[in-house]
Order: sequence, then C-alpha cells, then structure tokens
Amino acid sequence: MPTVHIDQSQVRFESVSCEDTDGSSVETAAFIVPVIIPVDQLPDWEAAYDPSSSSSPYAADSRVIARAVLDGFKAAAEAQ
Amino acid sequence: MARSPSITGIIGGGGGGASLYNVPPTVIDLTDGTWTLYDPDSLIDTTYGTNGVTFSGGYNTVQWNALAAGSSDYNWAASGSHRAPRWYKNFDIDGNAVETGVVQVYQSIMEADLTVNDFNQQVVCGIAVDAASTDLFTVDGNGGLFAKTTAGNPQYGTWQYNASSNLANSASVKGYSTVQRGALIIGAGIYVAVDSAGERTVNGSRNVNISTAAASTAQHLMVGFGTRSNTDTIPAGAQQRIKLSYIAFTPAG
Repeated sequence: MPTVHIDQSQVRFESVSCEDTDGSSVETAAFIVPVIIPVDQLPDWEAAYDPSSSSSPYAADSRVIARAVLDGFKAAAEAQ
Repeated sequence: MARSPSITGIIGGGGGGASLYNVPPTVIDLTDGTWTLYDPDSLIDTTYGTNGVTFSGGYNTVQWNALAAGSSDYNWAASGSHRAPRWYKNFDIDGNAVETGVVQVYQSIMEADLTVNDFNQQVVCGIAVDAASTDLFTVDGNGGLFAKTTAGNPQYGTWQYNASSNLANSASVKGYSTVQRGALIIGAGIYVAVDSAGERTVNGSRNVNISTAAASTAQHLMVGFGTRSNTDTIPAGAQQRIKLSYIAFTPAG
C-alpha cells in the first residue's frame, strides 16, 4: 500500500485565496496541511487512482491519505 | 525622492556608502508625478485629488467610482484577469532597471488607516513585469497585501500572482512583506504584521510556482487597489487610505 507523509512543522492556520484543482476560487481561513508524496510512491498512487471512477481510489488507500492529513490537522489544532 | 540604497552601490561604491542598518524605506507618494494610473474599467474617480488620489500625512487616499457587480477581476488574489486599478512606474535602483533575470529582494511596508472603512477592500504593493496589462502572466506580480472587510480585522500578508496568504488580527497596525524574485521566476513572499509596540501579531509565507518569460525584461513597481473578495461591490465615493513604502536591492555577484 502506498504511503504519504506530512510536513508537520509546516502545518499552519492561515487565510488563503487561491485556485482549487478544478480552477475554482478558494477563499477561506483554513488549516494548511502539506502532504509529501515520495517520488518512489508515485507509480503506486497513480495506479491506485482512476479519476473517471467514483469508487476510486479504494477505501483502504484513501484512508492512508485521510489519516495522515487528519493527524496533521489534529495535532496542529490541538497545539493552537 | 530618496532611493533605497543598492547593495551594489554600498559594496562597490568605495565611498563609505549607506549603512544597511535601519535602512530608510522609500515612501510611496502616488501624487508625486512619477506614477501612472492604469484603470481599464474606469473605477477610480479621477476628479478626486491628483488623478484619483491624494497624499497627506504619509497616507495615499484613493477614491472610487461605483463598482456595481463584484468579480474576481477586481480581487488581486483571485483567478481571472487583473482588471482592478493600479498605479505603476519603472522599477529601477540608482538608475538601473531591475530586470526579471536579476535576483532581487523587495520589501513593502503597509499601514492602513482603519478609520477609512468604506467597503471590503484590498491593497497590494509590489512588483509586476508589466503592470499596464490585464493579463495575469503579463502582470506576473507579487508583493505585500492588505485586506479588510468592513466588519473584520485588518489582514496583512503576501500577494503572489493570483493568490495570497494572510492573517487577520485586531492588533495589527502595519504589515511587512518581503519577496525574493528574479532569475526568471516570480519567487515567493514572507510576511509579518506588527502591533503598535512593533511586536509580531501574525506571520506567514507563500510560494508561487510561476516562471516569467524566458527573456529578461524591465519591470514595474506597482500599487493595486481592489476588493477583498470576488463578490464585493464598491459604492461611489468610497475611499481607501494607506501608508506605503518599500526597500529594494539586488545583490552583487
């Protein structure tokens, strides 16, 4: 199963104005959680994701990213 | 007008050049005749002051015509084209054009008058490749940012291309933002806002992953005014009032 990491010291609360992946505007106060995807994990992640399938990626793969992001957010929020 | 001392001049001048300690910033006076207004949608009330702006007590005061319908075009930190009004002039140090190919450091200092609170506002103060354009990639701008909703606290931060990072704090009275750009990239910015005692209230940073055109070109200093959000509107006669200054240098070698 592919892995990711979080750059925990760089998790921060900030107001951001930016573009989302679909080009839409995002304007919000938010926790920003940098996700590190190691280069050697890219093939596995790319193989795990089919944008045209609503059931992709599998729940187990999704949970890897979700838990990393939520752990990063949770630790930063509790430290505030 | 006093210029920021250049590192090149200080190190290479050999004449006991200016100290780098307590460097006095260059005050931006938009009425001094060196700045040009570019306002593609005629949103600035040019019957006010000098072509829409006055300068008094260190503050530039800008007066608007009505903006009936908000748009991302008038939010410097949003996607779309840049159609918000801005003042600009050539970016040079000691008579030398600071081109996109040269590594450069620019620090803006912004201090808004919060008693002038007529609409959900935004000000950017920085560098653009060509400020007299509505095209994002032609403008290629970054610098400091101030924003505020009429009901909210002042937000100081950094503006990068068509995005921003900033933080609101009720105690913030002044925002410092430093960008490093050049070597044919727009670069990145950091910021810190301070309270009346000069102590940090908020800070942060933002990178922009955009290269400038391959050929090195001269650039503009730019001060842009606009709305804080894409849907904000502006009543006729609304004003913004802000002190602006900057320090810029290019390292030798």
